[in-house]
Amino acid sequence: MAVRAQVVVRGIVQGVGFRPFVYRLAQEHRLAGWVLNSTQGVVIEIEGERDRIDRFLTQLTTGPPPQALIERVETSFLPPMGYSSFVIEASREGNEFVLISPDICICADCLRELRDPQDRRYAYPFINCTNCGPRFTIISDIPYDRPKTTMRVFTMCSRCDDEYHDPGDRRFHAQPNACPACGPQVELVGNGDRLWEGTSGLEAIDTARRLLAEGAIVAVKGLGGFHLACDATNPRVVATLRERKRRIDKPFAVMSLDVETLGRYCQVSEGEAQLLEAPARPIVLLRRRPDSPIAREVAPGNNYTGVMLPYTPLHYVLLEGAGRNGAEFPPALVMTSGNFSEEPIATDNEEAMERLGQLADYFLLHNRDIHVRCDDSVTRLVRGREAIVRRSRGYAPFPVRLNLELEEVLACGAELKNTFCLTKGTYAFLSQHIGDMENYETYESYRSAIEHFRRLFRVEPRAVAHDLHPDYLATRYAFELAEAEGLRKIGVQHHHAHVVSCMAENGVTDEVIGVAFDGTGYGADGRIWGGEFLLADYSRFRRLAHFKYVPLPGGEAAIRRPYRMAVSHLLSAFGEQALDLPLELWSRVHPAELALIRRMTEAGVNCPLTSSCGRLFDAVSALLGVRGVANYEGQAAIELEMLAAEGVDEAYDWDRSSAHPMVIDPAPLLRGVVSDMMRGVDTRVISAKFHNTIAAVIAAVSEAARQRAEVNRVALSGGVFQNVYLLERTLDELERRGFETLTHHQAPANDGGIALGQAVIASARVTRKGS
Amino acid sequence: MCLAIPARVIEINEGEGLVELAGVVREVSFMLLPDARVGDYVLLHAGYALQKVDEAEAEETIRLLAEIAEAGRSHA
Repeated sequence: MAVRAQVVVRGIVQGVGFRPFVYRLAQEHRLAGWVLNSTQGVVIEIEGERDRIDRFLTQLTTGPPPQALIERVETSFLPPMGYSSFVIEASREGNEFVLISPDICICADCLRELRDPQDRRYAYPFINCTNCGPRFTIISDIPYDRPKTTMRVFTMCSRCDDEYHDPGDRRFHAQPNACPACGPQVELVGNGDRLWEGTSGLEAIDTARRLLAEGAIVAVKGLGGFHLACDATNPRVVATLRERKRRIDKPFAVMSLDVETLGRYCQVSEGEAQLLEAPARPIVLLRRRPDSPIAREVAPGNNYTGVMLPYTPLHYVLLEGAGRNGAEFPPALVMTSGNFSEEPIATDNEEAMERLGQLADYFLLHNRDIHVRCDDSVTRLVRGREAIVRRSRGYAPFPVRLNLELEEVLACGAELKNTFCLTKGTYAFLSQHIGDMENYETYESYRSAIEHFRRLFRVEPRAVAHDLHPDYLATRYAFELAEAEGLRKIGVQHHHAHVVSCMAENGVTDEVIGVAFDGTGYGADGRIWGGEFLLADYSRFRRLAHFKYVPLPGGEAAIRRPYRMAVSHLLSAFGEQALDLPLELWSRVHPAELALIRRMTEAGVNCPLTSSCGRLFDAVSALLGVRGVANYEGQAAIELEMLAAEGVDEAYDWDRSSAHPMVIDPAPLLRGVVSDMMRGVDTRVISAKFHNTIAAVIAAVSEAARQRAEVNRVALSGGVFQNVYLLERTLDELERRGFETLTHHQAPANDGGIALGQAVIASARVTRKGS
Repeated sequence: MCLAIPARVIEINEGEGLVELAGVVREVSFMLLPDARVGDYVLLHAGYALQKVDEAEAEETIRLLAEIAEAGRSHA
């Protein structure tokens, strides 16, 4: 007897070839009915014999398309309607939401066609199918259909249209489907009064290849924005790019054709190769080989190179030359975001020509618009597990899945490496990387991204969570929005957010000992925190211990000039006598500035107090002469980490008070460092001993906290834990003592993960108040 | 690394003090080694006591240095 089943499939089921898959499955089992995309997911009705329907349902969940991710299948049985055939119906709109697929790198099938001179899409830079291609960056609204993407302006030719409507074809309902006859095109243009080479198609890419090989800087339009590309083995052009971009030292990412090629300049483990080749195609931080041909200028003072594989067909044609160009081509291209330092990545052709005019010699453009700005993601493997550094393209807008139902809230994030987060059900939609919220352009980008996310995921926040720092642009946005929409504001302490972010992504709801070490976060007492031990759950925290407060001479200036922190820490540890120490540091600080720092610290003028652990790294780095002036955030600490010698087990002394909260005094540590310096101990050994001391502090303070609070879980969060030497050492120390440890994998340990913690805390507070 | 000659602490007063080194008494700062005590052997650099050394080890080092100095004289 025939029955009818109504099936709702939720998860990542749109833009991944799900409807075509359902269609083929229904044909195979000779079932009638229909399938459509709705805002709640894919809705299917099938009618036929019960056993066939059961087989259909089994295969539905066991063999979906490779990029699909089924979260839930709801089936209900109804009386038959008498369907005679199976059809794909038009999408249905509503107020529910669906998960949206991140952008997916080109699949193996499309890559094969791209390389096949007989294929009609041979070397066509916009080839895609239901298993691959642009998604999040071209979608303006849901349900996912061509009219709601930036592909709406391209009318498919008859051959593409046939594929699109052929259930047996890989491109059946592939929304960005295109070919050289009907789809987007590339062009290469010269810059300003330089040689103008208006050209198009493959000729453009071949010319771009020649120019790159000759040492030009080419702006290349990608998926979520522009890259600035140049030969990564050419020190001169890399230096020129740094100069033009006004980016002095911050590492650039590079792109190589395959794992084999990049294996010649980096160490790649099997796990790292998998990460590189994953559909998200992130930048992976890999250890540089000593004989690497990559110019040192790519990542000065760094033992790691950020590497990615090509992810769009355009990248492949650019790197391979479609086999048409036999000329020598560099083994790696610098591919850094197309912007001036600190500005958002450029996405629009005209905008790019205008903003990047002084940065690039040539522009490799195309006419498929980017709807959503999305930078490359950055990740790495620590102890065999992913520890993401920047969660963006290929990851966002895929949510972080939580193990509890959340209230709908908007969390506005922090200032640096900003992301925001919207919650719905058990999903936390952590946005792509927005950037440092220090200028108007980034702020505008932030506002529009929030509006886009709210629309896409149909979130109506009940509350808006913000950092306690009153001057953060994100905090001001929260206040304005709360005012405009009558929402409840929930202030969340920065380090509490860090700890809860780490707990939430690990599915832990019970109280933990949270270790939140970073550069700067507004404290509950109005001081600048950053070396914090908190006893925390989702709604509350108690400060158990922190590093001793020291002055931050000149506020922000002390962050840009780590030598000021060295002076501050030395004065705090030794008093005025510090100035008599025979240290090179004194010759590197101008006497007038030194006098100013002393006056400021004595009088407490423009000298906020900080317990920051990040600033202690800065101080030691500057003291050792490693890095006195930081050209990018965290540089002094990063370069100190890079020096740390392997195989050193010694550590320095440190003190702690018996007060509550406990105060950790680094004076003995500084005494040890200075003493070692004077004895001529190798800087690499001093760096290792310093790191070991911080790990020892964490272990000992956690031990004290465990005894008092009877909590055995330690969560490590904050930017300081991007330091791999410290993280590994700390985990060893904690695990040796029998602690259960939580670290970041899905959300960054840095401020890019703050919004997730804010959202979870705000939701917990709304729930508590409501009940 | 500088040649480390142990000196014996003979007086400490609020972070400053005196040490005796091969019969010579000099002033040093104990700022970097606050837990030094009178009678300890310490290593010095640029007027600062940096590290405590084991008494037996220190006496052995002093004896060796004296031998080297003696050998140097006999060859001259």
